[in-house]
This record gives sequence, C-alpha cells and structure tokens, in this order.
Amino acid sequence: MADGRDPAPDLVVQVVLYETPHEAIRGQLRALCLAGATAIDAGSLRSVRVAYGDSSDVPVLDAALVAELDATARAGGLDGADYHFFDANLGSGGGSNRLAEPYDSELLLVLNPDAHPEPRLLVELAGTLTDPGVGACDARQLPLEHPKAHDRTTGDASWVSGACMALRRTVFDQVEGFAAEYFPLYCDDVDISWRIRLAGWRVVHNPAALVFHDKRLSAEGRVVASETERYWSLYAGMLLARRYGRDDLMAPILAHVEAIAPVDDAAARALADWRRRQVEGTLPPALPGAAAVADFIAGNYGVMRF
Amino acid sequence: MSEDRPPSIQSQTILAGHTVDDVWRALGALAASLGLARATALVSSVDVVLGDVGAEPTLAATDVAGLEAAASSWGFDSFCYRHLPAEAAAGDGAGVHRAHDLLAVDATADLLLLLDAAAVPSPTMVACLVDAVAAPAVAVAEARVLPIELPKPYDPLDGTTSWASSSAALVRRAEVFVALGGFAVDQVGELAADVDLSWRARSAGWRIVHVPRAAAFCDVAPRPWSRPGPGGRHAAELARLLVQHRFGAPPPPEPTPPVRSGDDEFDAEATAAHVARRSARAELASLVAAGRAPAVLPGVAGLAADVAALGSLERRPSASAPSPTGAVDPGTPLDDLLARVGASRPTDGAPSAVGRPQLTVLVRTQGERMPLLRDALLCLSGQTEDDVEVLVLVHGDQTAVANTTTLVGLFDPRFAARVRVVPVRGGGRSRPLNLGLEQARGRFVAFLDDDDVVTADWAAAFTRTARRYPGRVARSRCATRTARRLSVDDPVADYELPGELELPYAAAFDYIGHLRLNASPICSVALPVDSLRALDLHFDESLAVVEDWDLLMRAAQFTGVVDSGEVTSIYHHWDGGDASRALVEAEIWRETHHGLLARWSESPVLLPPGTVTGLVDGTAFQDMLDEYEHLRHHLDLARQRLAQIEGSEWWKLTLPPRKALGSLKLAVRRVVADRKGGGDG
Repeated sequence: MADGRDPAPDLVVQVVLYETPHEAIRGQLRALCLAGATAIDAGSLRSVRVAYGDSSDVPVLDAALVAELDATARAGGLDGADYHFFDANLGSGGGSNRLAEPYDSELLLVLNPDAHPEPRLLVELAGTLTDPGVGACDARQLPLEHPKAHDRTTGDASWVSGACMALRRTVFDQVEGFAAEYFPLYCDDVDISWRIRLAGWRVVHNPAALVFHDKRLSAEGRVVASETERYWSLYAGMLLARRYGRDDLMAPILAHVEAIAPVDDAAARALADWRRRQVEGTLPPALPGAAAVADFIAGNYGVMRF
Repeated sequence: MSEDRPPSIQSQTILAGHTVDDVWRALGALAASLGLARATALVSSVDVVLGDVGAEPTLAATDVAGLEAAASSWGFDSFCYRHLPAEAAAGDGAGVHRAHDLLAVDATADLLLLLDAAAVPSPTMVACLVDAVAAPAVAVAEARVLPIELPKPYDPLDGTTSWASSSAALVRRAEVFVALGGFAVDQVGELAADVDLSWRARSAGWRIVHVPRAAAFCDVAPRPWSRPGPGGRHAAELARLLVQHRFGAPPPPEPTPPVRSGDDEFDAEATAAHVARRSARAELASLVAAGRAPAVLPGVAGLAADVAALGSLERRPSASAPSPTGAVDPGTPLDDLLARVGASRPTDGAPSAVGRPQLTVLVRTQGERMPLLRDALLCLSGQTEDDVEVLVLVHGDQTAVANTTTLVGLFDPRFAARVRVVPVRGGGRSRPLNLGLEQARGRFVAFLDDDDVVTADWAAAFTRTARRYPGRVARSRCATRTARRLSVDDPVADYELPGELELPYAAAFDYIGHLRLNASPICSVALPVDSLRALDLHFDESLAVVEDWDLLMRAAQFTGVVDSGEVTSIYHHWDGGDASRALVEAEIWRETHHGLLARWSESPVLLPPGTVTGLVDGTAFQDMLDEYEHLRHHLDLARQRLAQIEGSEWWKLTLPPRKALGSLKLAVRRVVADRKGGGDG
C-alpha cells in the first residue's frame, strides 16, 4: 500500500448448517452483510465471503435459495455466498475443515448458524488479529455470556469459543484445523485453541466484539443442554485429558463416569465409546509438551468467572 | 333496500352435525334479537330458514312441528326446515356455504342473516347489524363472536375490515349476494368462500364492516365441518392459497421448516402446520398446471395487502388449544365483573387498526450508556418474532438523541426500519414510558431498559401468550444476574459479569404475593395496550421508583395475568457503585413502597378468582409460611442445642462459678446504679 501498511486481510465466514431454517440463514446473512460492509468501510478487511457447508441428510438450500443468498451477500457489499452440501454429517469441526479447503483467505471466521453478528463484530475481531502474536480470538456472546475467564488487560484466554471464532488461516493450517476425528461436535474449540497455544500463539477474548447467540434458558434458568451435549462434556473430558498428557486426571475422571453410568445414559454411552476406542487403539495419542497449555480446573477447561 | 320501509330479513342457519338442543338455543336467542329489531322498527318482516347438510336429518318431524309452533309464537313471518345433503355436498366439505346459496335462491328479503347454528345472538345483535349495513356502501356487517374472536384486524373508527366471517353476518341480498352470484364454493372451496365473497364485494366497490357491538356467543366446541381432522389442516391451507391465487397473489414460497422449541406438543403442532403448508402449496401448483385453479380476478387497489396478509382459515377456537408452555388462563376479574353489569371489556387483542404490530417494545435510555443500549438492541435484533416495533425513548439531550439515532442506524436496515428513536423532554423516569404508551401501535407493550438483555424468544413468548389470551397481562419469567460496571478507561470491556444467573422470581404470578414484593421486573411483562387506554392506566410520574410495579398491580386486577412459564429475560443488578448513593436509593425505595401500599390500601382491589380461598386457608401467604417454617426450624435447632448444653456434665460442673459470677455482676450493677443516683441528686 502507498502508506506502507499491510493491506487489509480478506475473510471467509464459515457457517456449518444442519437442518437450519431458511429464515435463520437469511437473518444471519443480513447481519453478516452489515458487519462485513462495516469492516470493509473501516479498512479492517479487504473482502468478506460467506461459505455455507451443509451436514444435513438432505440439502437445506436449493439452487434458487443459494442464488438468493449469493445475491443478498453481493448486494450487501460482500464477495458472495457459496454453498457446499457435504452429503454426510461431518459435524462442526469436520465441516469447518472441509469448508477451508477451497478457500485461501488470510482470515477465517467460524460462526454458528444461530449466531447474529453485531455491526462492528468483524471490525473488532479483525482488529484483535492485527496483533502479530494472536492466532485466534472470539467474541462476547449475548444474552448469555460464556463464563470462561480472560485477562482483563490483554484478553488472553485458555481457549476461544467456536460459536464465533476468528483465526489466521496460517495458524489454522499450522495446527491442521479441527481434530474432527476426536471432537466432531463439542470441545473441538477447546482442542484447537490449546493446540494453537501449543504452537506458540495466543488466543484472545475480545468483549467489545459482540454476537447474539440464540441460547435459551430452561425453566430453572439454566442454559438448555441436550443429551448430546452432556455426552460430549463427559466423553470429550476423557479425550482431552489423554490428548493433553494429564494421565493424573484420567483415573478420577473415569471413576466419576463409571460411578454415574448406571443411572446416566449419556455417561454410559461415553464410557462404552471410550472403552471401544481403547480396544480399537483409536484413542488420541498424547501431544508432546501439551500439558503446559491444557487447563483442567475444577472440571472445566480453564478458569471460569462464574 | 327500500328507502321507505324498514328492511326485511331472511335468517339462514345451516345445521352440520349440530343437535336439536343447539337449534332450540340458537333460534330462541335469534327470536329475541329479531324481536327487538322489529319492536324498534328496524326490521319489517322476518323469515327463518334452517338448512341441514347432515347425511341424516337432524330434526325429526316432531321437532319440526315444535319449532314451527314456536316460530309462530316468536313472530316469525315464516319458518322452514330443509334437508339438503345431496345438493350441498356437491363440492368439498360439508357444504355450509353451498347450502346458504341454495337457501338464498328462494329468498325475497332485503337482507340475508347468515348464522352459524352454534351461534347464540345477543338481544341487540340484529339491530346493530341492520344499523351498520344501512350505512352507505356497506355490503356485509359482521358480528363480533364471543368468547373467541377471529384475530383479523378492523378499523376502530368505522369497523372496516378485510372480510366477514359467515358465522354471524348480515348481507345485502339483491345488490350484493345475488349480484355476485353467492358463494363461489366451486372456485375456492368451503373454507374460503366467505373471504372470497367479501373480497369480490370490495372489488365491486362495497365495504365490509365488523360491528363489535353486535355480539353473538358461539360455542367453542369444534363442529365436524370445522374440526381440523386428517386432511382438515391441508384443506384450510389450500383454501387460503386458492383465494389468494384468485386475487392475484404470486405463487407461495417454499415454507420454512419450523424451529424446534423443545415443547413436544407445540413442535408437533408446528410440524403439522408446516406439512399442511407444503402439501397445500404442492396441490395449488398442480391445480395451476392442470388449469383447474380458480381464474385470477382483476386486481383491486387496496386489496393486495389483505390478500398477502390472509392468515389461517382454520375455524377453530384457538383459546381452547393447549398453551405451548402450559400457560393457564387464570380468569379475568374485569370480564366477570362487567358481565354481571351487562357491560363489555375493552377490545384488547382483538383486532383494531389494520397493520398494527402485535408488540411494541419500549426501550428506555438516557443515552449515556451506549454500550449497554447496543447490547439491548442487539438482543432485539435477534428476536424470532418480527411482528414487533421498537420505540427507543431517549430521555436526554440532543447529543444523546443523535448518538442513539446513529447507533440504531448501524443495525440491519430491516430491523432498524422497525425502530423509532423518540426524544423525551422533561419529567421523571416514568415520562418516557408514558410517552411510549401513547405512541405505541402494538396490541401489547413490553419494556426493555437499556441495561437488561433478553433471549431470542422473549418477544415470541409474549406474542404467543397474547394471541391465545388477548387482553391479559402476559408474563414470562425473569432471571437476574449481578453485573459490574467497569471504568471507562478499561482497555477491554464496559462491564463484567461476576455472578451466575439466578432465578429468584416465582414462575406463576400471585397477586397477593406481589402486594408485598414485586416478582415481575419490567422486562418480564407485556401489557395489553387497549386495556390500559380504556381504563386510563398509565405510569404514575410522581413515583421516583417502582412505577412499573404500581402500574402492573393496577392493571393486573382488571385484566388478569397469564404466565408463559418461560425464562426469557435477564435483569441486571448493578454492583460496585457509589455506596452512599446506594443507601439513598434504598431509602427512596422504602419510602415509595410505603406510599404505594398506603395508596393501594385506600382503593378497592379486585382480586383474581381463587384468591378468597387462599386468604382463608392461608395458601395465599405461602411465602410467609415458608419463611415462618424456616425460622421455626432454626429455633428448634437452637432449642435442641441449648438442651444439649444444659444437660451436659460440663454445664452442671460449672454451675457454682457461674452462680458466683452472676452474683458479682448483680452487685456491680447495684453499686454503679447507686453512684449514678447520688450524682443526679
């Protein structure tokens, strides 16, 4: 550039769909257009493209709707919107890996289909990634903030959430993307964050970057957790402990899961799948030196604020 | 109609699965209503015809004879019962509208009164309808059906509405019904025939009016012809598409699959509706391709919006359906009271101005906390319910208004177009809310202060409740959380959340409990706008705080409250402020609360059904009973501990020194008292 600064980076927004309603896709795209155009106008990004990957059994989008979304994206100041039907349920991590293949943008934004960007979201996230030491960053979620802690001054966190996570493409490639074979749906963000940190990068939370994440509350005032989420919270806990060299935690975690398995279907399934992998020899190998970046604190992956 | 004599009426009622008792009840009420109209010289002659589309005659010969005798005593000029199953069943459905066509063939009266056999007219219904249809250019006057009104809108000033239901309507016979060829059942089917007739009348320059004062009670039990059985939902949806097609609507888009709510019953309902929409859309496409769809009529100015907005034609009582969240209707004290004195409730939730949104959200801000306002607006932009307008009431200077306008302009234009920034000048903290109440166009009004946040189904929970229980206060549940404001110099964030969500407020609204403690923060209720206006209820601007509590209590006693049971809002308790200011605020709160209690005590209070029993058996004070039990438990524990101590060896062994110590203390007190007494003297 004439002023000597690096040109603004380009961004591909990855949205992995699974039987997502059309109106939700349209609504999110409108918000994305605004956020993209705002970031381009501000000089934070050079261009923005939206890539939809579909893990549903049957395609969520037909040709007409794909054309409509592409036209909406272009009219909104983005480069366009593409659609990739996977014809298989690759999960969120696997879907993101597949979506990364055809693109070579400098930045990636992994975005849940039920997450609505605030107009300045991309300005903020792109701004965070201008720090040369930051490999990935995430946004503050409304109305229910994620309780994981971050450094109040630097934003440094143990991990960043895949609901709305921006990464450098070089970093994504360096760590070979999400470990979908181990974490197809949940904790893939914890795993990739720790591997990014293991590779020497920082992962940072930016509370000024905002995204409305459509989480609902139960009658008890808790975030509604599905059976699948409960299964993964147990199963992924065991996988992460092994992968990050925390053999000391394996015994208590296993003992806990074994204790509740008789009365908890999710625990029983997690235990069965763990033992099957043990027999098959497909448990993740321990990553050398990984214990240093893995934060197992009071049953969570890092310090929680509440 | 003749100018020089009152009009004549032919009343047509179609039996379709009704009972003999239904007929007697409906005709008896009709006789009273017609009789009043005749007595006031609004009607000249009355012919009553019963058509029966049941496979077997509903009425036996003896029933007919009895009704004929009664008709004579009621003053009907003629009475006739016709069993027409074959003729009326020539098309789809059970042929109610086709039967109306058949009965109208021999009519000579000026007006046709179309009446559902389950409809029981009020004494003034006929007179009100005749009066309305006499107005220039009115083709059809439609009665208000109680207790479940059709949710379609009408102009509150002149009653103009999009279409008239044939459940209880008065139609000009020659100029309208005959001139238009009656119901076009062959074109649009049974379920849309009244919509179609109305729109053709409007195309010919006539008006359709809704007459709220002309009431008819319609049994809410679904009838065989209206019950959405297998295929019924599809038929209703197809009818809607057919009539829309006939009036020039473009082919419907592929319907979007419903989003799962987690409530099985509600999700099953949504899925069934989705399946019906898809199958009806496919059938319409097939009919169009085969050239068997209704011919498209010439476009009519002003009708396109009505065509596009036509809702479901399932004629079934929405209020009898279960709530998606288990909401229960607690009864409405005002309805009950007004019914006893022969008056009617304000028309909340029922249809009023055309194009009126379901919900108005009032966002109160001083324009000084832009990051918080941005969060609140972001939550509103993510709502699943679109039928919402947002008024951002800026109680600040011009800079605050300009900043707010700029902030709103940053959002998605489709959302921003539904947001109005309203400057507020002067007054206290209630002034913006009252201004918002005045300007709200929605049927219901909800409130979101700029420092609270809501989930994506916040507005939808209100509108779902409001649609099912119009006129009630809709209440959802509010979670709370402590938030801490950070310094403006903080490098990263504007505020932080040090605490978890808490759920301190009861799921169900309890009027007596609310007299002691407000368990409904302002973001957890939506108020029926028409009721507030009719009852002249607004926020008391003399109150420094708790103005929302005061209004809720004054409104709830008249309207009742329906709980959705869903947790949809998060109220922030702000921590870490100026401690002395917090003390002052607490003192203001206490004083205001005392004032409120005194004021509430001065006025009569209308209590919800069931309260008296609760007051007598004590269950109305459950929270106090719980507190009492809690304290009693601790007292019991303390007594046990005391008994343990007093029974212990250590206690017995230390009795002498304790006695000595007690005596010493007594002696010292005496000496001190003596010295004080001497000094004073």
